[in-house]
Amino acid sequence: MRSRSDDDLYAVENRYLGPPGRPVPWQARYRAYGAWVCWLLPLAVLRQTVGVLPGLLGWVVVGVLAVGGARLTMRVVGPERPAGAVVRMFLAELAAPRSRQAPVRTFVADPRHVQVHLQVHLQVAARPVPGPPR
Amino acid sequence: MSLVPVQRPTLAPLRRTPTVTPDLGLVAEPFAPRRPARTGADPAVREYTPRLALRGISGHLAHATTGTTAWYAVAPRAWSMRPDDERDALMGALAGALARLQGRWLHWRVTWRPHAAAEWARRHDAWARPLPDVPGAVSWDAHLVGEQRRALTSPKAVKEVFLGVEVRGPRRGLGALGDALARRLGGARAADRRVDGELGADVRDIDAVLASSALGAAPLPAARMLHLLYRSCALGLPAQSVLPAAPHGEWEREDVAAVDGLARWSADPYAPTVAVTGVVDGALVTRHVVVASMGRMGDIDVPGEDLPWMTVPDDLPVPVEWSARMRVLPRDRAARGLRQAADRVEAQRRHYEADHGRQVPSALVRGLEAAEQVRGDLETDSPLALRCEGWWRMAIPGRTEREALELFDEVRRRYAPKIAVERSEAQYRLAREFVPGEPLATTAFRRRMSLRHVATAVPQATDLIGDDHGPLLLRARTSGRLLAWDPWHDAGAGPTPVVGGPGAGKTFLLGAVAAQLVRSCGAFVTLLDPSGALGRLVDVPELGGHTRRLSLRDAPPGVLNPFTLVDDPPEPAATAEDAWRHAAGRRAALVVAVLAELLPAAVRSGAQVRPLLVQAVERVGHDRAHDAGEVVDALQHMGAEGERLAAALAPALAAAGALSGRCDQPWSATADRLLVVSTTGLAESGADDPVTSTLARLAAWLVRQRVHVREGSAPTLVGIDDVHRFTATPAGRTLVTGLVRDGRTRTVVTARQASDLLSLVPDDGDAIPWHDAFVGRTEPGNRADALRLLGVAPHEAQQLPGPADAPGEFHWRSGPHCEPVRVDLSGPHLAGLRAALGGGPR
Repeated sequence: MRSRSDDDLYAVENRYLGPPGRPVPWQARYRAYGAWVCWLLPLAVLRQTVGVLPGLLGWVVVGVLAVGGARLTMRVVGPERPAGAVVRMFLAELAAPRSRQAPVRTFVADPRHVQVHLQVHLQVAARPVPGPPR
Repeated sequence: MSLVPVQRPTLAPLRRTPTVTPDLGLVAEPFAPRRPARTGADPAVREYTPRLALRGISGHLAHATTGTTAWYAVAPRAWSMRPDDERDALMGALAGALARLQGRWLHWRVTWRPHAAAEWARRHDAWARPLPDVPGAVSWDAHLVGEQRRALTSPKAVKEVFLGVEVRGPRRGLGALGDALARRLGGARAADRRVDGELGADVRDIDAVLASSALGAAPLPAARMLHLLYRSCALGLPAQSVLPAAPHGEWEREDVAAVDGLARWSADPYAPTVAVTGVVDGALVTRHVVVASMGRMGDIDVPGEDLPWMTVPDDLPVPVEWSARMRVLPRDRAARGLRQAADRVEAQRRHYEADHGRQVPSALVRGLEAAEQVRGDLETDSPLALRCEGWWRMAIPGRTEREALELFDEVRRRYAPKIAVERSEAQYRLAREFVPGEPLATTAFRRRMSLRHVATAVPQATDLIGDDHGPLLLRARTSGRLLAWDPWHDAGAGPTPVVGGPGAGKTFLLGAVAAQLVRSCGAFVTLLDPSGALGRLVDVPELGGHTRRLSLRDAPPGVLNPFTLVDDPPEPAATAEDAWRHAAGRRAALVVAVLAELLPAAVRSGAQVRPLLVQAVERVGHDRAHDAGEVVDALQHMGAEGERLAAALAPALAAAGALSGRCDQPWSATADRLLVVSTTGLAESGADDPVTSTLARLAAWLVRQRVHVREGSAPTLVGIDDVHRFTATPAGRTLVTGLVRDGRTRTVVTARQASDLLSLVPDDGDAIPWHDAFVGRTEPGNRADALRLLGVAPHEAQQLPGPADAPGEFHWRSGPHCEPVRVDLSGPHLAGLRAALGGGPR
């Protein structure tokens, strides 16, 4: 019995090539434009709030940053992994129970500073025993 | 008088009032309340809420916060060595059964159970008639323990397929509020009973649909429901050897605690596996589990080119479990969704071609082809064209994270290039999906397909072979389960053919069967061994004192003396004259027959030969104290004809030295449990050699003697190795044909070519006269005949794969089933047997 799943049908992601007869130089999925808008809005608010890069140059930089963000987003989002599922999996990672015996990690910038031998001489004095108040 | 301070009790509600009594002075009455104590109140603890979604079980219904599911055990189906039309019919019936569950969420769970070794050992010990223990060898008790250890080396043995059918979805809004109120006012148990009552008719309908369909599904009993919950909540851990009893199938919310805390699951952020730690048989065990999702699927052809896609990882050494959530979509809804997707693809094509004059990319071409196919499917009413959506996950366990990931890579390699297997983040949530009642973790990796495509998964396909009766001899290639074989159980008498080319492991299998049957059943086994490879079986320590090796060519003088081959009557019958006369008559007849056979053909045909031989035997006597040489001496005193016979017999008797003389260990047909008759050199001597012919006839007589003397009192078996070497001589051919066609004798016959065996049995069309048959590696030219031995009709042979191709691997036909197996003699308690058989199949 030869059979085929419907994956090929649902895997097609429509792309917007531009207005009829006037193709734009890039080919992006429709979803990518949505992602670009989602990045653009907070970046624009951030720019206005912080007040850096005034003028047209600032808007260009915000637009380019949003393009970068959209490209990153579209790397992890696709027909197999819708955006909602990616977010849910991220939240699931946050909520997963952790191992109780987490390894203790020590970071040392310079190996010369690693203490390899420690000898401590302690003189333990007899502690006064608390007694009834006099 | 000083007052002794009394410590204030820590329990707040209790009052303490110091009182003075005349006799005892001032004492404390710490527990003297002013008003009667309130007893029997509910404990001041919070109500138990399981971490699982499961809230209770009634019968085969599992109540969870996500809804109520009815669970069923799906009947296993054989897949291996079945004709394609039967497999197609199975897949079609499976699709038909799923079509009747349209609109419901289904939860497939595939899990594994280890070998029921303890149960097998108990039954085996009950019916076995083992040989007495030999000092210095493995005792029977140690043998049983070793066999159980061997059976449990594989963490998986029996595949189990469960199907959960959604009976009621999750309650939301007012429904959930009503349920909460009902639980608060009437109790959880009453609420569940009410739900059961409401759903009763629905559940009965589903029961009937599943029982009557190709699924053959039966409602899950309490013990198996417990097993499913254990396997799910301790995902990836080895199975417990002893599960708690499941006295009834009613679980309340508090009972869920039994499985809720079975194992501790943990995962580091974005770790590739989830760690499951729990106690198994008294030891703390941790397993790392990779949960993989089925990704995009290409064209598959089952059974033509591919395996059913839910059985691909079945032969991995670890138990890979499945959890699949799927739903068969109502026809109109599926049609709407498909048309929408097809229109979207068509719009993209127009955008490329009409709006911009560009060539469509290859992915879009495939989408257009799929849209075309879908439109065709929508116009048919076949259940195979129904659409479903679902998520298929696999849990792959490993002792370490590295091992689990390596196994995942192996699984991915096996599915390539037709099916993608994906590992994603959120491993913990994905693993929780395996627990009945838990919600779907993510909608990622959603698969949409036709029921035709779902049916090609055939999750219930597994190896069905054997009846778990007898010594453990074989191991199923797919599941790794140790298989028992008792040639006398449910099989009647008759031959068991073992066919394979050189190095296929036929002799190894025959030797293993013989030794294990002698060891366990006290069987009387006679092996005809032309190659000498089985001779060392007599050195197996556990068989000590019950074996004998007899080399026809090189036997010491007197061992085959025909006078000693016929036993005297046993002691209780010693006074019966008839018994003695009968034994003496048989002895005389055997001596005459043997000596006549030794004569050259020209001399043997004389009319006076037999009367002279009979007279000579009469002169010598009939008891066991004589030998064939005395008969020759007697012939020399019987005139010229006698002298001529004696002169002809003398050189032949000298050539076959075992026939004359005296032997320290006289032969007895009933003494040795295992007799290995080595016929080395007989075949090379030629069929017309009188000595060869005589020895072959004697071997035939010996075998019959052992079989018939023990008939009815003990199991007897004759093993003939390389049967074509015997069929070269008339006596050998007579012997083999007689044994194979004898309905009372159990024989195991090995041959290089199936035609050697088929020529020995009457041609009865496609019907095969044996219950069991083994076919190993064979030459391509013998494939059709070999498959015919397995009961495969010639017109079906082209559809089936060739027989096994590794040494020691066979296709085993046992009754209606046929599966690939391999001979397994692993374990330290079988070291002696392995050494006797040369270490392994060669």
